[in-house]
Amino acid sequence: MLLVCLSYSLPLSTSGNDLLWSTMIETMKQLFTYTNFFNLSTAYQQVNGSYTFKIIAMSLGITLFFLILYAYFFPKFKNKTIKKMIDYLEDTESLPVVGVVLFIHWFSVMIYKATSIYLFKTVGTPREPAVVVPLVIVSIYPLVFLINYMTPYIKDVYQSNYFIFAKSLGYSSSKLFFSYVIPNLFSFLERILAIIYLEMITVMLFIEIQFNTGGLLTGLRNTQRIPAESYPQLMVINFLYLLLLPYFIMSMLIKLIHVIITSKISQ
Amino acid sequence: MSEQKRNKKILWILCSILFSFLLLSFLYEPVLSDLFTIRVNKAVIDGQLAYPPFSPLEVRPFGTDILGFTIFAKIIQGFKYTFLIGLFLSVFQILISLLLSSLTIYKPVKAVLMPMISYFDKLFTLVPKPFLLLLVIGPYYQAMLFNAEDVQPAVNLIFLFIQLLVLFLVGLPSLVKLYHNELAYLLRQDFADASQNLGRSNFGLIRYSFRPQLLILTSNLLIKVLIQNLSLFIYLAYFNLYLGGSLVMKIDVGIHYTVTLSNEWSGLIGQSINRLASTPWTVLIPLIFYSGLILLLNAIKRALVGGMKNQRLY
Repeated sequence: MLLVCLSYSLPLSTSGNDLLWSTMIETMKQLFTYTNFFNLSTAYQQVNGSYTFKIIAMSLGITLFFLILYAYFFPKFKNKTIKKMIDYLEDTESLPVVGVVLFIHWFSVMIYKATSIYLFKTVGTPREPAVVVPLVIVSIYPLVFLINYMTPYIKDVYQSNYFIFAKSLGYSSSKLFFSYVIPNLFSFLERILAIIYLEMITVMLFIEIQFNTGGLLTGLRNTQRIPAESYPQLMVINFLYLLLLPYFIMSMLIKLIHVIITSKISQ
Repeated sequence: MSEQKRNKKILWILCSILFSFLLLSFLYEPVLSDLFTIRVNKAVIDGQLAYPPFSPLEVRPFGTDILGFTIFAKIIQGFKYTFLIGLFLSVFQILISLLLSSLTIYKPVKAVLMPMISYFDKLFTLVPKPFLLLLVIGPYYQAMLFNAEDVQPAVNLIFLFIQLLVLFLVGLPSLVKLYHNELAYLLRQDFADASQNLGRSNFGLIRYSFRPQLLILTSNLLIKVLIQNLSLFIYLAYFNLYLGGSLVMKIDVGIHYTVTLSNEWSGLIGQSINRLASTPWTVLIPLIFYSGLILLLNAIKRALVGGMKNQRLY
């Protein structure tokens, strides 16, 4: 982590390693000072950092809800439909994020122009940011990725012997879904939850710039404009840690759940 | 059998579309540039003299950008750069990662290489990719602008090289890891054990015994990596770091317009990305072409892999 941030100083010091080392030591010293924390909290307030977290948390919820819905209705689809759908979704996934963000932005403006229906707020300010359109865009990519990734596992769960036996014994499908399918899917889900979070951050970067909403990633981008004398790398490291904090918390939580489960089993 | 034939047919059609575009693009400089209108400085519309940018309705087929260059010509010119840069980058990435991962069969190499690779892999996934590129390439660009008063072709070439190097290194660790896992899986198979007992060397194993599996994986990966690289190009263009260098034009007092020199597609999108509201066609038309290219590549991948699965390879 730190290494990447300090690559910052590398191209500026093409002469030798001395500058790199001195910046590294200087940055380490500065990182744990009170001023740094103070500056960070001011910057967090300035760029409206909570917006990013709110949007990401909301869209994570939406994504998971849709995934559960998909898993619930999965047995009702035909095999062929699902295969076709997966193909389409793969296509969608490989389209560049920027393109989709730009296109949806333009499209919502066009709708407003043509019909003068004010569907969503497309350009916000840091004080009153747009919510609906960013939320939709942030949710699309992870959802597509999730469905693509999870479909084989969902299929496996539905075709497992346990499920077939239980169904033939007369358990209702909704009861089986909540007591067997979801717990089984969870173990696969936790593996990619972190990846999805990281993907959301990437999409968020473009949304924040495009919709002028302000947020953590805008702050991160603005660090590029900080002059070299006032330690831009310090701010970069701070922002990166802030962004990755939920990631670490999430992975810690999952580990904790595992520990609890294994201790229960051993009892 | 019929499905295999169908896949082959589809593959031929798609590849011929791709190559005809490529041919068109290569013919641009010698032949086509004389035939097309490249720049419209001014035009008379509804009896009044008008200046660029022109919309697609005023100048067929795709309109012009703010300097009056027609987008149609630019798209044709830029396609070869977009495709070839992406292709070379992906081919190099795949070849080097295949080489590195085949070296990891030997235990001392594996002990040194794999921890490094997995560390960098984790690092690059944790930092958002567009920002990582901005972080690594941005300072070079600043330094270069600072050093060179007017950007020379040689400087542009160096910058392109640095960009490609960074893109290459960013993509490498995950690929090496993937190939390493695949090789480890193949080495555990029975036929690998058998041929090793019969005296096949490690490299011979990879060259002959694993060739069918690796071929499918590689052809699948090549296009996947190509698509990923194409989307990385757009990230770069979003931050005005164009492949092949850029030129800052002064349109008016205090208004600057950064132009790509190569007219490469992602650069075309990036150079007018702030003008989505005023001249949407300058952004959206290259974007549509870009998406079309990616969808075409996806279809090629599907036909290629689908065709290979049905072949009797061993």
